[in-house]
Amino acid sequence: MSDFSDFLKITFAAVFTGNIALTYFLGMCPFIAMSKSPATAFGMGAAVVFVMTVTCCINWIIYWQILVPTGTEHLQLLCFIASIAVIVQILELFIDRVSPVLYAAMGIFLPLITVNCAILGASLFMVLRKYSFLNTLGYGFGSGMGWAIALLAMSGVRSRINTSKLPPGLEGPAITMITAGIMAMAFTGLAGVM
Amino acid sequence: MSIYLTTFLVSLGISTALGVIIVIADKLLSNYGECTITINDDKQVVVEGGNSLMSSLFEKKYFIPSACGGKGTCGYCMVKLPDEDIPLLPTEEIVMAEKDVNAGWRLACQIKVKKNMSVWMPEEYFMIKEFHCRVAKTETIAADIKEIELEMIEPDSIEFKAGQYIQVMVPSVGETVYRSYSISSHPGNCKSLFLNIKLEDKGIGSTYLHKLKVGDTVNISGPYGDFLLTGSNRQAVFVAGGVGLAPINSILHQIFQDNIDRKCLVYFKVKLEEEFYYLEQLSQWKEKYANFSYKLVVSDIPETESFDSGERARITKVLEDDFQKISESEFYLCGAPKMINGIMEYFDKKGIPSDRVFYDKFE
Ligand SMILES: Cc1cc2nc3c(=O)[nH]c(=O)nc-3n(C[C@H](O)[C@H](O)[C@H](O)COP(=O)(O)OP(=O)(O)OC[C@H]3O[C@@H](n4cnc5c(N)ncnc54)[C@H](O)[C@@H]3O)c2cc1C
Ligand code: FES
Repeated sequence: MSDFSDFLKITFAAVFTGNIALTYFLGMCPFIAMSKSPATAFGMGAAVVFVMTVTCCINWIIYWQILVPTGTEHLQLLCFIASIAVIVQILELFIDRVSPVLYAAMGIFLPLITVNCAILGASLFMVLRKYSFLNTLGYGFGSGMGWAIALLAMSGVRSRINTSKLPPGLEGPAITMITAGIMAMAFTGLAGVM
Repeated sequence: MSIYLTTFLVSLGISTALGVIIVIADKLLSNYGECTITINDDKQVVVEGGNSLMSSLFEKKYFIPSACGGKGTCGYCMVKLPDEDIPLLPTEEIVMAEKDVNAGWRLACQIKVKKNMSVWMPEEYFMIKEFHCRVAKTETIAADIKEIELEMIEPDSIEFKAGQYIQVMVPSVGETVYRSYSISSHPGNCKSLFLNIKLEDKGIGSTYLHKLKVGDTVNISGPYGDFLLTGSNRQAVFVAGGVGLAPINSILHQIFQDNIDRKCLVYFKVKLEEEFYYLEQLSQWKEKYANFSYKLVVSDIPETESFDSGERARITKVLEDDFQKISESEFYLCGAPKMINGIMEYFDKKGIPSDRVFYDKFE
């Protein structure tokens, strides 16, 4: 039972209090670039949830079942990056097959998930914090969800900002950064819940 | 076991496993098999699925106009897909005009062939042919600019209109890439074409063309484009930015050789003085034809150097100074997108109707 409550706690923390985008500020470039419209934000968010969950699990197996027993932990970065690249490649083929619209909308950002630091970050944190496999699953999924929720929220805010008048000099990236900062404060406010 | 050996074995094992996974996924997910494309209801070609409609048709020698080589930025490669129900892609939305979208046009470079499909394209696309040519002359005419003469071998002549362009097939590692180049010679000479090529730093197409020697062979397709002189008798004002002079040179040849009675004014704008070319030709025309005049404009010349043969300013500034003389003209703009966009913005402000402005962007 305590295993399961750990799992829930870790998942919840990954989504809210330890949000990978808004407390660790990882994966910021796609966060800014893909939050222009809710539709593409949704697609990108879903892709990141998938990639993060799967890569965290696979990287857990690689690390604890292969690298640790053989004493080759120093290979972790190399292996993590390679497995992330493969998963993203497969996801790309899949999206291209089922949704040309989403594929075209995500454009360069889909392959760029490979080098999204949030994805690699999640795998590295999972190792650093010595999570069990179940917890890793929760952590990967939670981090992905957290990133996706932050992205969706941002796209919602931005679609309203688009129609409002801004003071000159605050348009574009400036107001987006300020918004991200305020959202981050809101997310840290949730820390008390834990 | 030594750490080196385990490291080697573990990396080898993991990369092989990942490699196998990706190969299997590729076989399962991106294998679309052979697809049949039906063109205008009466022609059929069989292609390997998974590539863009444009490159699939190119492979079967059906040519579709394109200026950007399939990057989805020019919006020229329009076809209709009467029986398909593929939602409009975001990449198409950006470049296409709303009226074209509503009329059912799609960008052939963005649509992928994944199953049997039928395509409709205008008859004039069938006029576009592939030509095998030989380099007859190549000469440096200005800084980083070469004039290249291509002699038609197979077929041995090409019919085109002044202002049109061709696409050069540039052999490169992986797939062939296509780059557009305007024809600078008079259409009366259908045995060979002249091109003005500006060398771009690290550019695939321009580097290939600059390296060609007399006797080398080149494959091209064409002619494409509708940057043509209209039948109006308003004064024609041409603005050429650098090698943007190429199609304008062809149109001027047409005007003089066909004795078209029209007042013409050319603004030839470059960044640095050494980029001017064909100046002798321009000054000969000016002497010979009272209707013709030209103005040289240099935009980026260093303050320390003098420039007496023309203006030294931004092109929009020069147009502004001459505005009284040219406001009722028809405009033909050709060159880098940045220059054209700048001028279009300026014209918009000045209230010049867009149906009097024609342009060819070298993107
Ligand atoms: C209708 C039309 C007519 C045209 N007519 C002419 C003409 O008459 N004459 C003419 O000269 N051009 C013309 N152009 C432009 C021409 O088609 C090409 O765009 C141009 O020659 C550049 O192509 P490229 O293959 O050399 O460069 P590309 O390889 O396409 O590169 C484009 C730019 O990106 C940069 N770049 C590429 N790779 C790298 C890299 N790895 N690192 C850093 N930078 C990089 C290059 O420096 C270059 O500036 C025309 C274009 C159009 C659309
Ligand atoms: S070829 Fe340029 S948009 Fe399709």
